Amino acid sequence: MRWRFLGRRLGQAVITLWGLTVVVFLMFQALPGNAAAAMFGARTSQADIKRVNHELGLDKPLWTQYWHYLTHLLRGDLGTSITYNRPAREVIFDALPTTVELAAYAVVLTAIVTVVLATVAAMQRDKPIDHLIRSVPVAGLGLPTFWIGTMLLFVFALKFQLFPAGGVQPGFTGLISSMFLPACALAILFTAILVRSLRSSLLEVLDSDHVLTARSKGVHGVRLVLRHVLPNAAIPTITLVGLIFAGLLGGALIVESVFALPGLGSLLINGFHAHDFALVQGITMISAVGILLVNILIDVLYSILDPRVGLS
Amino acid sequence: MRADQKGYASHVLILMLIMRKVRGFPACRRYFAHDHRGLVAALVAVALCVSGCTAAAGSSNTGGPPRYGGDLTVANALDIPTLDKDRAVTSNQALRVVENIFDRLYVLDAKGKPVPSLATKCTSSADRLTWTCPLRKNAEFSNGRPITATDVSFSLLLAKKGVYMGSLYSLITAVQAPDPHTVVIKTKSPDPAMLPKLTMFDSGVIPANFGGQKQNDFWKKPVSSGPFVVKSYRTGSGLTLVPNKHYWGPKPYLDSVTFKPVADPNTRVLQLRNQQAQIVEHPSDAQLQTLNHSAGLSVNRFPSTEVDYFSLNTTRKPFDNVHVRHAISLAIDRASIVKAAVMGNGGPAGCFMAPPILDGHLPAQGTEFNVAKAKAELAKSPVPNGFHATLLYVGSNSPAWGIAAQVVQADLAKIGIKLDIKNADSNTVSDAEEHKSFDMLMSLLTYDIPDPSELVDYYFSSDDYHSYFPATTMKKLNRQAYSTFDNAKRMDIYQKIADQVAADGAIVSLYTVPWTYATSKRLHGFSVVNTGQYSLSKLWLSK
Repeated sequence: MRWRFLGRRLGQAVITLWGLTVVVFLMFQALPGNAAAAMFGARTSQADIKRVNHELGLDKPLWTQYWHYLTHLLRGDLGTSITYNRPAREVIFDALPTTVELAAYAVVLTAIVTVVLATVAAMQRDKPIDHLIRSVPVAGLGLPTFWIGTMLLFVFALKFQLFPAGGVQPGFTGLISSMFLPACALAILFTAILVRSLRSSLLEVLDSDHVLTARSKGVHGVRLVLRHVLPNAAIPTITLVGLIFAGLLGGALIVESVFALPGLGSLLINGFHAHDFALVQGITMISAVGILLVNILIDVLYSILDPRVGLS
Repeated sequence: MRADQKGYASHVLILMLIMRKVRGFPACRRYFAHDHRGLVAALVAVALCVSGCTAAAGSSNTGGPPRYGGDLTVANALDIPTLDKDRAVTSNQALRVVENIFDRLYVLDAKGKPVPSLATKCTSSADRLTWTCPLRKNAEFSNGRPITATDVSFSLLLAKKGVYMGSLYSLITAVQAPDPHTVVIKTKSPDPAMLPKLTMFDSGVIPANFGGQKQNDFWKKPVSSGPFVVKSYRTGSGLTLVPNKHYWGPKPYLDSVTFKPVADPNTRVLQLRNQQAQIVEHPSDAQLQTLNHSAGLSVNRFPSTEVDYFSLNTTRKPFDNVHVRHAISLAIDRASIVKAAVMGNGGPAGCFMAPPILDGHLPAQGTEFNVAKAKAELAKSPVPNGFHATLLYVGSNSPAWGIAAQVVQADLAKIGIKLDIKNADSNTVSDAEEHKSFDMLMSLLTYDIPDPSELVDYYFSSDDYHSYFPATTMKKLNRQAYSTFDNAKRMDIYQKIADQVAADGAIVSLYTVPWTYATSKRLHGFSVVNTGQYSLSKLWLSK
């Protein structure tokens, strides 16, 4: 059953990706101007522009260009980055680890903070600490990420000099230290959403019969929460994590820029600067694949956490 | 709207803002002397100002005798995309590296004048068609191999073939190597700008045939002929240079120079204040106020050749009429534009050639502000009561352009010209240029070599900077400029060309801005010539 579900979801993902290739391709076709002229600037001769247009196949019919793009994409060829004069795939895979590390760091931080805050809030229902936990993280939603990032840098990198002011320091400890503030900037945004969701679920589960039974058997405190409450309460929140993953990638675009991290976000900005279509298209496709895979993973995880939920 | 929806909305809004700001204008990509997130920078700079910073400003060019050692970090707005000396023209960041790793026959001194470097001197023949350049006999590449005339010949011919800047060497017909230490350059007609052209970054010397490597592999970690050599280079993460032990010239003071891409202007300044970086390029005008009052930091401004201007499409009515063009130029208060758009950090421009390239000459007709005279000019035209027009610009090219456009709009309204301002993306502008489907188009230019001929020649190969104006008089004057090697006479002719550009009125120049860098006060010897180059080998760091 699970394998059939997985196959079906992967099939849907392939169709979604194909649709995306059409949208991305047509989007760039719809842009005004000549790509070759945009690449090489005003001092390039018309003969050179024509030659490059021919080399890139831009003088061919639209469907031929799309077929060329699609067949190369299926072979893993994302084209050549005109900015770096290297295969776009190579350039993207150089930057991908930084974004993955940032996203993973942000997810871990978000998870830790969310679980702690939501549990405290739920256990202290309607007490001042509960109100505080419910209201303060909401401020994170109203603050722009670039502002949060800059303020984190200003306070923790410049004033207290606890972390570097952007960039990635060498070594594992350098990486952990360099990524802490950017991951915090992302975590602040998503914690607010997840704390509320998890707290509601926790309250629901805390009132349920099986928790009452556990309590009557003498299970209390951390053991009760970890063993009987959290696994059941986390299910809706995990679904939400899948939904906000796309937001996380969008946030990473800004955060990487603010913290000077050499990830996909910074690369995308450079790609836009240079009209590097291969790079921008490649990053769009890789991001889409990432989001689809995470959502499939969440669906599978959902069924593992709650066997009552079918995968049909 | 729920709180979480508001959060996402603000996120999307910021994302859209940045996406809108980052689209560059390809034709002038390398000329971007500004960062592209001015609005964001301004907002956060105000926040940083409020949070308080201690006062003291000064020059970075004092500090006793130079000291060897130290690692310098330069925080750039953009990544270094390539070290290919032809492609480097697309990135100012790449240019600064290429200039310091590839030696040229001539380089620019601190005053921006060509002085011999790899060549001991280049002399021209009596007919001015042959240049003979003896080479230094002790010059070696970073791999220890001697630099020969064959390498120089290969490098110059490679520059001539360059897709981006090859046209600059169009007069060169051959580069010969009669012996290992002599280079002979043949031209089809006399070229009085030959020495400045030999200082160009793309004429930098590399081993013949890329030292046996594939071209693309060579540029990943090139063999150096200049004072520095690439130690490491990773896309997106930055590049580190170390001194080239085989360089014939004075040993650089610094142990290493690292260029790091730091896209956010506020983070660049924070890194400077945190001593993570010692040079920050293009601080925004809003940040300059803060930086001027920060302890340990300096704001350094150097005259540049950048001119921001707009072209009038003379294929369209009423811009084909000289009185209309004069009226537009006369109605514009350039001093107000400088004050409003670049916070006073600049000066008025009267021609696409900036004053430093013309020995300070500023065409009077191109800078005159006289509303009464403007109205009188318009009265002589077929549209005495004014008309509607659109000013097109790529806002992401410069945060100042939006403000400049608004000042122009207000100024032209005073003489009856109703101007619509259209902030477009660079593709839209490229399309408008190709189809000549615009009225007025904002742009900017800078020089690569310290010779006025560069942009005058380029004028004729770029549809007259998209004004499509038949500049007959300019062409005649340009021919005269090429007929003499007397620098004083040439300057006189180019000043006449500048006056003619102002008289034609097809290019309405607005303002010039200096090269601006924020540096640590520990940094010494930092000096930028008006074409933008700076020598890393003269920089040193005090303790």
